[in-house]
Amino acid sequence: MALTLAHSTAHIVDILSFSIVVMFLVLITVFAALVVMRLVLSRREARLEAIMEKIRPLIRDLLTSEPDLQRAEWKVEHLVPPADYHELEQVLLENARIVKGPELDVLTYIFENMGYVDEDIRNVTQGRDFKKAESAFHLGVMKSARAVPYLQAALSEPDERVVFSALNALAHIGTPEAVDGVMDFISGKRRIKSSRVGEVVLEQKKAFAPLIRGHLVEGTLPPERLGLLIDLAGAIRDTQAAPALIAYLDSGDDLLRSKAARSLGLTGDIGSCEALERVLEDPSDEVRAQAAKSLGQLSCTDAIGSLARAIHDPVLRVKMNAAIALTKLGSEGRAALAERLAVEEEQERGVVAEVLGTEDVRLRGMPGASRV
Amino acid sequence: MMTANDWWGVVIITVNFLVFGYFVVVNTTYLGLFIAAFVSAGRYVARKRLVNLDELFRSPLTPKVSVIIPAYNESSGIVESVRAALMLKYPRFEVIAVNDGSRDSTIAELVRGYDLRQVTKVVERPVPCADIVGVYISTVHDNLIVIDKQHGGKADTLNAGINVSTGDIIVTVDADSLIEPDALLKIARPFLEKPGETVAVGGVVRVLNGCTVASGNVTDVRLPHGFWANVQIIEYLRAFLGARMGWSTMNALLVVPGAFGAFDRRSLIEVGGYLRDTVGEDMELIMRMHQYFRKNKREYHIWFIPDPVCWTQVPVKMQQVASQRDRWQRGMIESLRAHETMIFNPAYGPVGMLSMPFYFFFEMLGPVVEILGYAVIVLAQVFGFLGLRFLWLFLSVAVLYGIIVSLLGIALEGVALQHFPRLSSLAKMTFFALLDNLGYRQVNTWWRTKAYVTYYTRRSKWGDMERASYQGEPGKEPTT
Repeated sequence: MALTLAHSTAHIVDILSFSIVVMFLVLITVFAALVVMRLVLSRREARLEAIMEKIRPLIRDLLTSEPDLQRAEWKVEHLVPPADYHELEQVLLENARIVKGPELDVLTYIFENMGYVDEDIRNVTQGRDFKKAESAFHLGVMKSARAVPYLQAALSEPDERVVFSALNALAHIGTPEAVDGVMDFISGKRRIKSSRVGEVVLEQKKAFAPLIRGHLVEGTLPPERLGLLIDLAGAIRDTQAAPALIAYLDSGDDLLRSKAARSLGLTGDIGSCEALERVLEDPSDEVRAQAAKSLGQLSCTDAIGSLARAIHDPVLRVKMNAAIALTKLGSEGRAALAERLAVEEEQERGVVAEVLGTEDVRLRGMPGASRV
Repeated sequence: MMTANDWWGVVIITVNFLVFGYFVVVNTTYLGLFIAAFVSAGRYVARKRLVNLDELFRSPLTPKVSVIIPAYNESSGIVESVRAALMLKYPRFEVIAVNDGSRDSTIAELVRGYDLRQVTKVVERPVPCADIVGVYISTVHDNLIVIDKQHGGKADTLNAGINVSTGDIIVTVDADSLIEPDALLKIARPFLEKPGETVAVGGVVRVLNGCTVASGNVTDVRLPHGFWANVQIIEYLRAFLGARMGWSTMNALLVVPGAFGAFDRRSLIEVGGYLRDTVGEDMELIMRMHQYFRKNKREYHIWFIPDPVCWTQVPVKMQQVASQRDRWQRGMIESLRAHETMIFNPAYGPVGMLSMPFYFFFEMLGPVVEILGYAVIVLAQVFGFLGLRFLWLFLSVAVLYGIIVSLLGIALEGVALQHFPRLSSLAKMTFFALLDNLGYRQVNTWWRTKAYVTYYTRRSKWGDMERASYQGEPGKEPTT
């Protein structure tokens, strides 16, 4: 046995010797890769940045002093060497993210006429997933109307990144056809989990408001999608959505009821006060808390009594929101709140003291607050 | 017939083979994790190009964030830490600084720095924490709350912050750390992209020592002077960046760093917040989250993303490094023992079958096996069972393999953070990658082995660490 082990040890020594040679090679390769990364990549990056620095003043100049689109394109074509077209695209895109109106038209025109749109469309239809997503993103930034049918087709891609980029691009482009594409998608059955779909809709809120209202009234979409639309109705402050949102206060789904209560506060529709006051008695504390908050946001002075009662709600968050809401309802609301300082329950008194004390510190130059 | 001496030889050589096999498996697993990390970093960087952070900033749907800064005896840097947090770029956030009964002037510095006033506050305790003795708000910053509480340890302090918070996402930041201005937007992204599913996100922690800080921002990234800080830079890249990114791709991440992590508040409360009687609260929490969500068959993901960067001061004195490593090791032992039923339990998927066994056998028991390995090799050499050649070859392979993994950590930083070090820095880092494996690793292994003794003698002690102000003092290390 000892002999076998000695034999094995000899084998191990061979293996170790071989491993050392291999590892030295790997080590040298990794180190060389690091040096190359440092030298080549960072130098390349520096070179690209230098080229872009040269192009930036030209583009800025065109944006501020060249109203003629054709002349603008002619200048770019003749002043930027073809070898630098990739960097030119980057500069066009970075500018397109920050300018609007006629300035964006100049960039869009150059982008379209110098072949970038064709290339991106080709990528969206034939590229690999990431390339599709990236090109869709570019087409959106550049508001390329010609790309709409291709972007609509990309909405049926299996990769979520491609779908989101295409949606985003369509919303940015914002032509009726582009918006239709997004509408079809939102109305469809396909699930997309990301709440960033919301940002897409917000980009074109006027166009989407009727669609959102329509779906809220129909109520046939899955709860997850309806929840998103309820959030969006509030986020775009669509007063006309209030009746539909009020209907959701009676939904059997706690989450939809609380979202509706929250969104009603954001819409600014004072006609919702009565309905919100009613749900201060809702079995879900989340719904009651959101309703209390919204009553304050909408300045529902008729709800002062209900809000004062809500300070005795068993859930702290509801008490707190009700107390804060009362501070937003003028002197009458504040008086109703101050009265509660005399109640027996310690937590209720604490909530009122907290809200009034915080108000004092933040709004009135801190009278009564103790200096440490 | 074999003599007693032969038998000893058989035993020692067999142990040598086992140690050798163990070492090959550990480093090969690290290598595998690095491959996964490189793929993941490449994808992440590519995806980043499709995200416009300004859109997230403008969106009314971006969730509210509560940044919790626990502070214990942090008077030298707390005002700047809070200032850096208040300057973060994010549409809706609050900063909650929690003073954990400091013995120094932490609370007084905050009161002076932000014109704080004490207010009444009713605090519910969905997660347990020690008594809160005072709540302060600022007359100059609407979104700053300062909590003064009885001393209860870091986990207890974080729990107090969670109880007071009103955000949908909780971000924890160490008081001696700085986070980059757009880090909140970046770390909140997974919560927006996978709402409901994302329960925690860890960000990269980088070493602040040596960097220049101005107005709460890192303006120049440089390597520090001195052995301890430099060697920890390599350790952070090798063990934290590489390994964590690798585990994250399999949803088997076991640590979201306490220095910079984001959590879905509801999920955090649902699992009971931080466990208070542990020194490894960050690791224990993540294991508990895996256990809870897997047990309840909930769809969830815990991410590690490379670019929301947090900068932290690392200890620069040997005793402090030793104390910190001792605490980390004890935290790991506590966490793994508390959740040992998950190890090799297929019900917990890759966490139970891969990352927990890896941490148990290689991270927790690793130091003991390594020390045993060194001892047995020396014994084998002394008693003539193995030749000197074997000894040198074995140590050379061990060190070379380790250096390769350390260099891969440096390369990963280049890919993930797109930060290419200067050639002089690269040479310096390579030199410290060598020292990391030839010297530091052995010392660290000794500290971690000693932690077993500490574990049984003083379980929940943290140990102190001197803090330097971010502005630093002339001629003093660190220059942060």
